[in-house]
Amino acid sequence: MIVCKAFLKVIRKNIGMIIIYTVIFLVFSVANSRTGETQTTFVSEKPSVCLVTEDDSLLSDCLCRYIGEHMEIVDLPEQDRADALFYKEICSIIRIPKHYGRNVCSGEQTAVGIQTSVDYKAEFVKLMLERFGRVQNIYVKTTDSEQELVNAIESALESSVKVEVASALDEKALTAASDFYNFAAYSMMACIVFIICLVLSSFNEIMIRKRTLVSSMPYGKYSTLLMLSSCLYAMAVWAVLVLLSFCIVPDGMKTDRGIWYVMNGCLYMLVSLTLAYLLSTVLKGKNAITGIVNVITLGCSFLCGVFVPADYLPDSVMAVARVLPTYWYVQTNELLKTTETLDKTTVLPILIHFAVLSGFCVLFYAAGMMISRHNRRIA
Amino acid sequence: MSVILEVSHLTKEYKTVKAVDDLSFTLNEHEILGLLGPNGSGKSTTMNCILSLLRYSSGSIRIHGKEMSPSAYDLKQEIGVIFQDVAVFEELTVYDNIRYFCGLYIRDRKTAEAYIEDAIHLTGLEDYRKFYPKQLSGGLLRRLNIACGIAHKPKLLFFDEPTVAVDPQSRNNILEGIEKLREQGASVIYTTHYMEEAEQLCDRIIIMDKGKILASGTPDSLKSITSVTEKVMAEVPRLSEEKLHKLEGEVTNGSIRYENGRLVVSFHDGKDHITHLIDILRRMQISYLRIYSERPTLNDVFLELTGKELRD
Ligand SMILES: Nc1ncnc2c1ncn2[C@@H]1O[C@H](COP(=O)(O)OP(=O)(O)OP(=O)(O)O)[C@@H](O)[C@H]1O
Ligand SMILES: [Mg+2]
Repeated sequence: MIVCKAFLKVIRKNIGMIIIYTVIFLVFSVANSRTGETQTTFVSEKPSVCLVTEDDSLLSDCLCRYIGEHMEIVDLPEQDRADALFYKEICSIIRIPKHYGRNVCSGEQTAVGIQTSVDYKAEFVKLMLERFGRVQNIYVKTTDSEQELVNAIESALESSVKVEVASALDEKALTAASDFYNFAAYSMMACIVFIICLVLSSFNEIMIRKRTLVSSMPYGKYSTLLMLSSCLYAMAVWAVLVLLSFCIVPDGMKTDRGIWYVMNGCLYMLVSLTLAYLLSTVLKGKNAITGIVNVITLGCSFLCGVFVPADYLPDSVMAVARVLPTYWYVQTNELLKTTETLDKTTVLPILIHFAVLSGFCVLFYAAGMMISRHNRRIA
Repeated sequence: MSVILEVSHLTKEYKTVKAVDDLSFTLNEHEILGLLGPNGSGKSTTMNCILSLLRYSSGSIRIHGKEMSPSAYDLKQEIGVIFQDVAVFEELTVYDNIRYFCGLYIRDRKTAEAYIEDAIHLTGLEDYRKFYPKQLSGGLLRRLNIACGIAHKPKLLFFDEPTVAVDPQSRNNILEGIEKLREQGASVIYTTHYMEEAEQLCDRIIIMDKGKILASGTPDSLKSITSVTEKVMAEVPRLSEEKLHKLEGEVTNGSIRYENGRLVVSFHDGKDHITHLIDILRRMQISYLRIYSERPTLNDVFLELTGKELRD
């Protein structure tokens, strides 16, 4: 008990460090959640299109309404359209051909004409039109009149729009949660590895070690107590992070993903803990610790997409990052964000990532064990 | 008197040097035994071997008749060690440091707290409980180092040069403290290269060099080894070769050395040669700043045994 107590006291002497890391983290994640909001309003900008209707039927009216709902319709005289497309004032020209409604109802193949520029907005327009086409083709077989078809299409698209809104909101919350836990990777590793290394270096200082070795405290018990104290501390750091996540990104945490984020964080905590243990057996001296731990925590964070989203990193970097535990942790967060539903097949890759993280724990612990056994006597 | 510690034929070899060479000695109950030797003579190595901190090449170490080993925790319970280098936590206060090291031995909180108070009183750290090691002077830090080693009231104490780099007053405090511990029933092994300290404190002294015992015994019996009976020292800033030669002719019953402006005349028959020497110096018109006489010291013993000075 005296060992744990002294451990906590030494930690308390380093509390300044812990606070700094936590504040950095809070500033990061709160700032991020702000920029996230402005980004979504930017994305919801509607693409401009030019709509030419040669048909006059219920179905083409319905299609016009649908286009008007999702896109900005610009009226242009015939001769200006090509220029506007070229200068990207509009991203596509949509042409509803003659007898469109009649042809569709009679089962003839009829396509909406579309002319596009090359950019992502045009892709969106194509996607939206394809969707309308799909829905229309489904209901044309089951309905008898054009009016019925239009009603079916409108209710289907409306409900699908509703679903879309719901999932968009979800996605936002999950992105926030994922970003939170990604940032947490740095703070958690720094807080755990740095502080535990510092504290253990005090306990492993050669003269203190000698004193401990000549005392009547069995060495095995002593190191177990030190380990236990480190473990308690790491768990406290993790608990604080989980608590913060429920405060800062509550929407994402309240979904079925919440528990998975927490578990992923727990595994990463264990990885940091065992890494701290390994490093503390190797590193001597506080200066060495400050330097090397910074290199390791910052390096892991940058290479594995904690600060810069993984999508922006070159493939070569990501290939290297695979040997780092942070990569697997971040990838799990990404999976949790993007996987549509969690079921047997989608959970499997997450579990594999968990297994890899556990592997890192075992590896670090075993290596630390071997080295410390080697260091037992001072001769 | 019962034997507490028995070291027999202890040998410790590093790759290139034999740091301890076939060393045998015993420590009796309530005894302060000095290990005296110059730097690198193997004092610390001997101590670390006894404490099972170092693997030794051969020999045996018995405490209370039991073989000492890294896992002999019952023996370790009785042992207190004060290392040559200060070993305390920078992050803990004076009190917490003592509390921690005492706590490694003493489970019971009440007992531990009483013991800590005793240690604080013995080392005179009452006013510094809340200080951090960084805020202590060198002498106070040494005292804290000692307090951490003795707080659990061990019966067998090892001090490894506890007074290095300590001012004379703190040094006396420390020596008195050790004396008090002995009065309270402890047996002590005291390592030093200061012969005055060894003479002042120890009941018995072992003089070591190059890992071997050169001589051992009480301070007085050791001093009888040397044939020097008196040394007269004179501070003579200038002395020509010629005059030194002439002086050697004048002083027939002593041997003369002159180095660094100091003239040392060792006599081998009786005492009170100082007036005689003053007469000779005056006659030869050799001016001196200061002249004084000294009894033979352990340094002379060491000089006689090894041909070199103990002082570094
Ligand atoms: N780890 C080591 N490896 C090799 N040689 C060593 C080692 N430690 C000590 N020695 C050698 O062993 C000899 C005895 O060293 P030791 O530290 O015991 O001397 P000491 O009497 O305590 O000296 P001091 O008064 O300076 O403390 C020295 O020659 C030293 O160079
Ligand atoms: Mg030494």
